[in-house]
Amino acid sequence: MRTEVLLGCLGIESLVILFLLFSSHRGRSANNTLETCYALSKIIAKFSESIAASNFDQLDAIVESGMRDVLELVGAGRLCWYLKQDGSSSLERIYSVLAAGSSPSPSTVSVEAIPYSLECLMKGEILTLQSLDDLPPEAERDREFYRQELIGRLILIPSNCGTASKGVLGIVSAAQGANWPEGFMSQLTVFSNLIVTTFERKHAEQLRRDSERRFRCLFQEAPIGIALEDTDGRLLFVNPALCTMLGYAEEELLGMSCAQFSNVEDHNNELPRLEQLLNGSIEGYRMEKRFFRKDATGIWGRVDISLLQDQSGDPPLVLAMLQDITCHKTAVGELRETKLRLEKLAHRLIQVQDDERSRISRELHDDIGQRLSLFGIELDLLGRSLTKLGYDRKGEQAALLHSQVNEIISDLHDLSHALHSTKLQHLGLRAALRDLCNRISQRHRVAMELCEEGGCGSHQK
Amino acid sequence: MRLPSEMSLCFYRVAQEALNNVLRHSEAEQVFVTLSVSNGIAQLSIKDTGIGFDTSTFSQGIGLLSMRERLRMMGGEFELESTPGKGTQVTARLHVPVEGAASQGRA
Repeated sequence: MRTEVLLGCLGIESLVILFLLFSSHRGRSANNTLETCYALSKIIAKFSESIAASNFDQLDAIVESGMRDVLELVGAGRLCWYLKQDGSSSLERIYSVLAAGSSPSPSTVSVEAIPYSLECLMKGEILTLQSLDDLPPEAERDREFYRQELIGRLILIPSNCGTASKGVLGIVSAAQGANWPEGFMSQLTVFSNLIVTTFERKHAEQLRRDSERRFRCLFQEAPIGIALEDTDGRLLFVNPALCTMLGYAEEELLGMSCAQFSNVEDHNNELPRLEQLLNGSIEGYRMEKRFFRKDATGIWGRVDISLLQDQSGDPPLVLAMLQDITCHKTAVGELRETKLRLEKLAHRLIQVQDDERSRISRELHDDIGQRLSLFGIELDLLGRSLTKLGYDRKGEQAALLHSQVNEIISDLHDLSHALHSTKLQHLGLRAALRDLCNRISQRHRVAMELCEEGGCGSHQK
Repeated sequence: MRLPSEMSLCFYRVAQEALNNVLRHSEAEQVFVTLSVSNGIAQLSIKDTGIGFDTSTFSQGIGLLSMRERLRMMGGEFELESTPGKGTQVTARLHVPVEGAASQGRA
């Protein structure tokens, strides 16, 4: 727990630990220490040169080769390199080299297993143990762990070169031995730092490669067309989807200008927005525009345009993403046409209905209405004649029939009026509306109020 | 001002249809018919004090469709507002041709 708090305080993201486990026989004598230091400095110099000259794929092998050289020089049983990821509760073994007959180091070490050691390392201190008895009483957990791992003598050296990944280098022997000189420690610190920087270089390169692979995959497999253009509109990169959309081979498209396959009108409409993009007043834009395929057929595309700036100061690139919306546009066009046709049909139906209403109204009024009026007059005359001749009952019957005919004529006029208002035709809308309201209020129990400009004038019940 | 005959006919048919609906469905005791011409726009509204209905759930009949289409045919607007328990109002709006808009007279 103490170690975790310390880790958090220091903001240290990772650790590198180099374990040197010596074989059970005694180490080299103090007399040849200078010789060993000189040999170690040569190994480190060679290691450093190899790292600088190698490419990404060789880094792991070179690190392990350098570690093996150190292992042989110091006569250790094993040499391991551990990394602690930020927030992780354990140290992860990344590199490991073993002397013949040595058992491998654990692939992970929990931070709780060596709290005392980690606290020292986090402070940047080198932890040197000639024997496990050198550990203070409060380091009981560490002692137990090292004992289980058959470690008798150990040096842990943290890296201190300011990288995001920080490390520790340590030396231990199953058997106890002589003290190591200071010069030896500082050289191993340099070695540890070289491993850390190499690891970081490899890690960064890996991230870059992963990112590039993901981008390439997106670019190649995307269902939408993607192009990178220079600021003059010349295509520098195109993806397969764009080639398919425009019907060109990739080699044909590269070097072509967007204007060559864009509708002139749409292209000219786009220019002001492209100008805004290039002068930085907008970050990107979207528009729908027409393109011509190689076979001269047209397609509709929805394009999203943005700018790709890099840190090198080179001119920016224009990133264009194109979606084929031809089907959508066609469907919208057809829908619009269908709607227009339906509207025309509806309007034609309304006109025909009005014409037919007028015609039927005229027929009812001018023909049937007139004939019924004549019939009513004749019935009236007949009734009067019958009464005069003394047929009173027949005369009354004829009068009744006459009044019924008059009712029919009145209904007929109402129907004719509803079908075609002569008042509307001759006196205008206001008179016709007033007449309509009057008729409704006379026949139904509804109060009608006709309000005209400047207030409600007429009020009928 | 006298509206062109096709506009008058349009408003008259809307009034007929709307009033028929009032008589058939609204159970209203009072109906207000308002006709105005202002700023080049002629507006007819028929408002009742009847039972109203929920405009989000009712299905549009031929009568309403016919009113809408008449207005659309003339380039005008049609609105229907109704609240259950508070009555219904239909409004028809048409742009009056410029040459007629200057003079104010009988519609």
